[in-house]
Amino acid sequence: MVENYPYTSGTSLSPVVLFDSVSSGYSGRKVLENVSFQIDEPAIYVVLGPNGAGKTTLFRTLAGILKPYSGRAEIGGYSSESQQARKQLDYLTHIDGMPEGMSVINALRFYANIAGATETDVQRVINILDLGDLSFKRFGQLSQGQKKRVSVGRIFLKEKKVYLLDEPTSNMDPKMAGDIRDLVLRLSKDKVVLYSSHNLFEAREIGSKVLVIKNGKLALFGNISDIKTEKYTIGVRTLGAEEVPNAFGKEGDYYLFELSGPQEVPRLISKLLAKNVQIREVKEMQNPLEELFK
Amino acid sequence: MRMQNINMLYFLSPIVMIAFSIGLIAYWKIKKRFTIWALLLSLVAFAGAIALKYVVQYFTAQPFAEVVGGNLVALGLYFGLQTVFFEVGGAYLAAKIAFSYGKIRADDAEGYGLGLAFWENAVLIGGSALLNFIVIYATLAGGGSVAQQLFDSLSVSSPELFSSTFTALQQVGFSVIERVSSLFLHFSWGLLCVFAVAFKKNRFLLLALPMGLADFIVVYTGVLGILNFELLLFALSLLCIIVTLWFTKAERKNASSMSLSISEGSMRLTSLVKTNFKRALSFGSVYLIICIALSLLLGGILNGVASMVTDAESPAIISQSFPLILPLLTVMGSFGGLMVFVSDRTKGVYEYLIAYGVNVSEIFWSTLLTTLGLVTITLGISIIGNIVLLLLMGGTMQLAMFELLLLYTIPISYASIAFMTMAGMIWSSITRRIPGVNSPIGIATLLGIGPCLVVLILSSFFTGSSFLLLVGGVTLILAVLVVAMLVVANKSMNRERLLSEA
Repeated sequence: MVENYPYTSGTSLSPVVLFDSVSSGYSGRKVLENVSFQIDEPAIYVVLGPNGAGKTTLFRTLAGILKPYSGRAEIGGYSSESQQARKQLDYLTHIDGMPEGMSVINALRFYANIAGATETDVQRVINILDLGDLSFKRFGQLSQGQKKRVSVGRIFLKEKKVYLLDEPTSNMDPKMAGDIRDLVLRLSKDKVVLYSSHNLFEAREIGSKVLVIKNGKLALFGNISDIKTEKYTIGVRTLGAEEVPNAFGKEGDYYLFELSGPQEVPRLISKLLAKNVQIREVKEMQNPLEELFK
Repeated sequence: MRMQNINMLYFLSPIVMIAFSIGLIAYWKIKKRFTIWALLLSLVAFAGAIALKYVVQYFTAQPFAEVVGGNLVALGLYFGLQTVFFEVGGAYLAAKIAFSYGKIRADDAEGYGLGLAFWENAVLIGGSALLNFIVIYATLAGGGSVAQQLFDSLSVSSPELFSSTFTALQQVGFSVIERVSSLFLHFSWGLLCVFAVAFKKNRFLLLALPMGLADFIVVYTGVLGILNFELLLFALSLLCIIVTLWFTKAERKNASSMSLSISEGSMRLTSLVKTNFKRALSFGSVYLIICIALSLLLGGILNGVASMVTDAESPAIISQSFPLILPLLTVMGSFGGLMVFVSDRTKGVYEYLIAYGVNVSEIFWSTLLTTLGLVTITLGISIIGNIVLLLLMGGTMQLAMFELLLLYTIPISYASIAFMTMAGMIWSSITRRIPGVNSPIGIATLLGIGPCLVVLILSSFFTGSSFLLLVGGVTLILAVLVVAMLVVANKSMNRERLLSEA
């Protein structure tokens, strides 16, 4: 928790991100209550919490979209609502936010103009995210994954000090989610990245620091290794009606397996295939965070 | 006297002024900068001043003249002080408000002055004179009893219109000198007002205010003679611009560097308006096409009905009454802007824009400007199309039609659609998504059509100049409501209202 910050507005002494006793929400209804933390070091900070915990509200307050009811939200020593703070920050919401009816390249140009980026930056983003083939397609014609990729591209338009990424891999297939995480890791050199997720195993893959939000309050701010989970449950659905060996139970069509983490999934699949189990689908059966908050 | 047409040289004067005013703006845009805000703010300042002068003179000019009799000093002060307070004072007030919102900056000073001169010389004087000459020329060329009546009337009121080439050239020369003088004056006080605000130096305002007294000498035209009057006015205005440039030498050098910090706002707005305008054209294209097609169909029907009427006056009145219906159709043709607003809010675009530093006021302004652009396109095509249709179907243009267009169709269309758009945006922001007729777009349409219908219904009770007051009054009320909504939205609208509900 934060108390008595050495506060010097907009100088090198100012914390990169400061949340001091912030309460925030919508139409007078508090979603975040008295949340305090301070970030000084560049790293990926994973913001964990179940749906409705207040992750998006935290991001919207830091991005200067929501005005705190009380407390101070600052970026680089400036109020998060100020232009100076906004210049240091980029923000990716869980919504695509692409203007309807525009082609991919024109939508990126639109945001580049607003953000003060150049045509060269737009072309760079198209190359980084391999959007060349999609450039002249209308945003509405893209698949969910392609839409997310274009949306993520926006944060690469201009280099910033702080990045707020609100569930950037939601609705993505595992390969694309992995690619995006790689990009975020590249982005995070010398930067502060706040990355929200409701998946602890994704959090472990990408970050070393964690902020856990529970019922609008900060439950934990520390190293991700401080969080321990007992088990990681996987469900396997088969094509046929055969019995699946070593499953500890069944939930609907899914045979349940307890593993120590996602890294064990490929080995489990190989084992099952070796035993002639015809696998139709593999999925996480329960959100590990639900365990964390029990 | 045998009927003849006006000397075509008279067209030169407005054409030269319009070309000169636009050319100067284009030059300044290329050389330094001229923003949409400079143009808009100068319009607000200029139109507000002219409207106030009109209202004051409508109620006080005759009683004042009766009280002071032929006292030229009193009359000169009467007109001069109105220019001081309304034009120069208004220009300062508009610049002050715009500066406090970051919409104008020190290096917009020249652009603001050029904008004021543009609205006076290219639009109010040049535009109306050109339109007037076109109508007179077309009517006289058409011949018949209407042309003869017009010729007889003009022979008495403006005989110089039929003068020889030499006299016409002289008149055109005087007119051009007068407009150049006006350009110098407007440029000077526009620049001084912005600098007074930007550099917080009241001496610039004190320098600008007396310049409005140039109108003091207008009442002496008869005493001085036209040549002396124009030369005196030119000398005064030249003095004003020299004094202005001399006293602002240092500030003009520093203006650009001082303005860098607030340049992003206007760049963002320009970018938003450009993009949204293209999208609004695409979103609302169906409505735009239907609106223009309906207006042409209506024009065709009116011309058809007119050709079947046998008495002398009715055909012209019927065939030229299309301007009455145009505002109602234009409301429909201008939906695109509001559609873009609702779509962007729903799709979460505004969440990103706000995070990039775009404020609520910029979002509302961009939609408003986009919509007014659509109004210009819809009205422009409908008016030109109807005039072409009228001529193709053998009709002749009359002054009354142009008066109706200028004094009713254009102002009421812009004002009611601006009102519709602002109300629609606020409605959309403070309510949850509602489909169908109860949606913001559905409700806003009624708000747009309402004022036009009110004016149309009341027009039977208000004739002549009182109709002008009715239209002016409704337009002014709508304009005040639009400004009030913009101010309230900017001050009180929470940013969260523009977030997507997804």
